[in-house]
Amino acid sequence: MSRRLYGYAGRILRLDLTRRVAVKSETGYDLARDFIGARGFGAKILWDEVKPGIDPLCPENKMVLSFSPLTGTSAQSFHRLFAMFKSPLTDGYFRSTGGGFFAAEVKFAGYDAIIIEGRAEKPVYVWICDDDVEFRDADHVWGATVDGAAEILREETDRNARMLVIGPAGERLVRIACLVTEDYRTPGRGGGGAVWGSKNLKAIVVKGSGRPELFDPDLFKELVEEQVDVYRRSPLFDAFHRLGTNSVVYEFYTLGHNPTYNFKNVELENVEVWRPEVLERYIVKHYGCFACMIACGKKWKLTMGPYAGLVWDFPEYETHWSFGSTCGVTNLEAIAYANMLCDRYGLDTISAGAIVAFAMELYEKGIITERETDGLRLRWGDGDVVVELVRKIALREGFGDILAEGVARAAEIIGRGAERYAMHSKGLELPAYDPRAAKAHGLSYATSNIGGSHMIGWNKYEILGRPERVDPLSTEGKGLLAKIVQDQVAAYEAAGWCAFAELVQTVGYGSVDRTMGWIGSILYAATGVEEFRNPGYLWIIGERVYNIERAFNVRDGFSRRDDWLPERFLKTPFPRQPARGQVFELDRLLDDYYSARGWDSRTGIPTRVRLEELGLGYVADELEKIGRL
Amino acid sequence: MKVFVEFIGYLARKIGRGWLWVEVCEGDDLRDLFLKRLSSWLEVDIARSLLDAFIRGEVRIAVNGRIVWDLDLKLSDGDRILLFPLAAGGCSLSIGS
Ligand code: SF4
Repeated sequence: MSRRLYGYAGRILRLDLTRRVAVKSETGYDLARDFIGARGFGAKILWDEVKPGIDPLCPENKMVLSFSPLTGTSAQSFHRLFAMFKSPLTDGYFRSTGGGFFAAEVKFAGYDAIIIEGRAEKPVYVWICDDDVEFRDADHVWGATVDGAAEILREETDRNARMLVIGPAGERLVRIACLVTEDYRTPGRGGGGAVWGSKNLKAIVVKGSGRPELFDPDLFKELVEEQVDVYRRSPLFDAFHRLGTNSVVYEFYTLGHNPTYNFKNVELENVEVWRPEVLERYIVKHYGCFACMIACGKKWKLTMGPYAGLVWDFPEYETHWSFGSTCGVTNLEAIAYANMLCDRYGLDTISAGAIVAFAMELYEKGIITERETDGLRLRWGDGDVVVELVRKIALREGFGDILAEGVARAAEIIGRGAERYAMHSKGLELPAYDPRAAKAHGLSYATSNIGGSHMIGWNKYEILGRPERVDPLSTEGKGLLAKIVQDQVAAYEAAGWCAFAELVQTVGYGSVDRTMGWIGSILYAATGVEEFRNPGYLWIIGERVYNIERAFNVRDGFSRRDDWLPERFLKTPFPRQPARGQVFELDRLLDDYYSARGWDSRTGIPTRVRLEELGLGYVADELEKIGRL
Repeated sequence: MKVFVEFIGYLARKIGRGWLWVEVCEGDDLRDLFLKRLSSWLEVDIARSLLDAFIRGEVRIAVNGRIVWDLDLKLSDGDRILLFPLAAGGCSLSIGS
């Protein structure tokens, strides 16, 4: 068999910002076979190139933007952008992902990944037009919001160019700053915007004219037709298309998710406005990412109240929660406005809202007063306060300067017991599910290599009861269940797939095995890599990616003690239905999880045997050399 | 005794209301709710279609916030029963059409 790689663009682009040099190298066959692409490439390249112990905001940190061999093809929903870096929020490995058109455009320009390294002496942006790569001064757009900068950069390059930009929050090294595409899709979590800010990188603008060449175009076409058919038949398709992730806000609230009041979880008054029939009244337009018929994006129009006139991207499920439920706010207009500010300033909406909720609880408890908050009364439920705090965080203004550090660091700065109300894991603010109401999902919060993320192990078994029913409140077998889902997600993300779309297809098939089989076939049809045909091999890749990410953190000093959740979940019984009386049994669940993973349960560190089984003997060697194994 | 029944998303639009209190009898289970009690509030074929959609897995039911899979579940006074399309908002069902 030829060792030629189809589906891939065949090159990796390295941007050395310090020297303003761009270097292109070949995408290695072994790298492709062992890690597929996207999240897999990022995990491997970071392991190889980022030294332990470095400050995430120093020039030695790197960011890998990487894509899949399916990106830029007609396969549906495989066109996501993955950003991997050491996070200024968690001080550990991070993977962040967003949709839009940027990833496909980079593939068209001829690259499977972009490695960003060093630090520019002064603000720059990078203009990539196929083979030509230019480092250009960005003084004139430094300080501009995402939309303002994007408009100017489009004029200077190509009206149809795609781009990834940071806003004022990233420039100010706000630790929850994110990257934003020109169509406001965001690899949102973990502070990637601050990493770019520290490198004086304002934007990457790209235009490409190539197309990936497929190994077996006929088989590929057949498989895409099958996918389109399964999407159409899936009972989830219409819901996602009609209302996007917002379709589940009310439902999830009633199932004990969508936590309220900084996870105190008392009933939220006026929660009926979360009902889908109410939310869909705001929609004026549907839109989607490159080659995705689900088109789950929505534009909202506000016609009432002080924010009337706004037409902007709707707040997604998580954003709806972060500026809504967890702050006690049911004013949809204020939630939509805060969401718009985040897109323009370049802030992660989940962390931003979670930080505001943290501040509101400190105010309620009397730990902070108007003296510290620049005179603001941080009362639960006040949407205008949410909007004002978001602005202050993004610009590091007054009290916002402390909150811009994220809840973990802000709690340390504030002191006086504030850490009890900082709802995070490994420094990443927790999102819109309560670990007490879904135990395997909660276990993924605690053990995730990127901290409190809902996406690393979104547990469809517990949350939807699909493709198989599992009691979310039981602890039985949850270590294994958390591992299975984490490995599944890692495999899908190495293939560049969108998690929502995966859900639509898996529920359509009614089986994870069929989904994995289909992915294996389409990866083979695209690339010609024989190993991909075997779904068992994809599971190994998922587990390999998960373990190398873990090893990155272990090398940086992480261990079992970091697989942690705030005391509130461990000691305070969940107060409302359906999980009333539940706590999170952390130690028991961790033991179960490490045993399912084949890791040392005392330390939470992968064993040499497990690493070698996964083809990661070189990782074991390095961990042993530095005394971590 | 009475239970509170809520219809979400597409179901609410189709049925024309978001919720109702329904009188049930001691010993009634979920099947009785659809076949005997709801049919006096809704058109008989709508109540039957809801039941069929549940059996096909297109409509989910939560009783007091817990997803139920079994129609034999006995009802209690004050139960809060939610009916929603799989991921609310969907319009692929043919309830009462
Ligand atoms: S499901 Fe939504 S987020 Fe995912 S690829 Fe499609 S349009 Fe983008």
